[in-house]
Amino acid sequence: MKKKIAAVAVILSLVSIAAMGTMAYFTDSAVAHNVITSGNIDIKVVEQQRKADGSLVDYPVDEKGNPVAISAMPGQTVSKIVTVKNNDEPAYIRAKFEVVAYKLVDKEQSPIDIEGGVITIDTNEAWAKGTDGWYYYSDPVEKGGVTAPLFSEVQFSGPNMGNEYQGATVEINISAEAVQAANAPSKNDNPVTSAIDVDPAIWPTQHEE
Amino acid sequence: MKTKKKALLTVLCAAALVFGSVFGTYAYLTDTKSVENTFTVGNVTITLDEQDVDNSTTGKDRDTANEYHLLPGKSYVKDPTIHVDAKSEGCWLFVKVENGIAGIEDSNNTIASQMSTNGWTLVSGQTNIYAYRSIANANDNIVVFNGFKVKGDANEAALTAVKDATIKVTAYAIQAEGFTTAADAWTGASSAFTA
Repeated sequence: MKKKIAAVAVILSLVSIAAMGTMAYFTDSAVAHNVITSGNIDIKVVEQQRKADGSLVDYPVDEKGNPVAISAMPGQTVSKIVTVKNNDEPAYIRAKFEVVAYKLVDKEQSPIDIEGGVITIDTNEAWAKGTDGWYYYSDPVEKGGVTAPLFSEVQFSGPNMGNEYQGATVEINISAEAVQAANAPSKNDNPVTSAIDVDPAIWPTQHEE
Repeated sequence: MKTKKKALLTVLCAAALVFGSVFGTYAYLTDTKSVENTFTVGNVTITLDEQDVDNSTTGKDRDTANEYHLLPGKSYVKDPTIHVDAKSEGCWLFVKVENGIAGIEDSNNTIASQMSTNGWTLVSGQTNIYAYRSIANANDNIVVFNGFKVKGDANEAALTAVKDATIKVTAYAIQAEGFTTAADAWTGASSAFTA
């Protein structure tokens, strides 16, 4: 009689211990991979010319990607259609150009002070001129989009371009900048709808200064 | 279920990470590009000379002035020639001829008739400025006239009257670009020449 009770008692103990041996809960795990890619801003200055037959052709470029030098005489109007193409994320675009003239004297550049009316470049009204000399394009440009021309021709005056320009070199250097259109900050409390609304501190040139 | 709850938690964490990086610094994606355009301006360059008849310039066959001792009936070489520079653009040529000995010139083959033969025509409204018939190009040599002859019956008084007289030739060149005719060029650009 005593042996049976003992056996039962032991079994009961064993069962109890097994039931309370560990403190584990049902679990599971899952891993989610999120790949976040940053966009890219990529623009290109495109130059074309209108031929005598009315066709539009790209300007031939040299090994640096600059248009090859062309000759000009007083009284001549040169077709030069300058646009900016957006190759990537939507962006606001601004551009500017600088005209300098010089003569090469013993391989040194001797600058010529360009007076008013010698070289005339009429800009397209789609580009608003800012007080800082930059021209701001009216709308954001989508991927693959092209702006309206910044200007379409360069006029060399006949009467105003005198003999001091004989054998001279005239350079027109064009710069273009783009900032992302998405979340572009405004310069004031108004929403950004045009490049000129963008906070001036965002443009690349500001950062270099 | 528990799997879904875990997934939602993970997505929320990822979203928080994105926002954190956007507002972490004051920098936006930008790009800059530039191109240089170069225009080379041409030039119009001429020189004027004539044969060195009086050998006043040593070592050269051409000169810019000659002295003549005039005798009745004698012919003299005087060939003012315009040379268009090798690098010059095409141009319209003009000359002003102030002929101080026209009064004693032989009527055959006068300076004026030679110029007409050589392609020079009086510019409308001018008395002594002539235009060349066509555009002159680089390396062209355009002769104004070739010589003059004193008339055989010129007497001493007539010759004395032209003592120290001169035949002065002045040459002008105006770029051809932009002007269809010599007359247009003179009208459009001659104001650049001082009288």
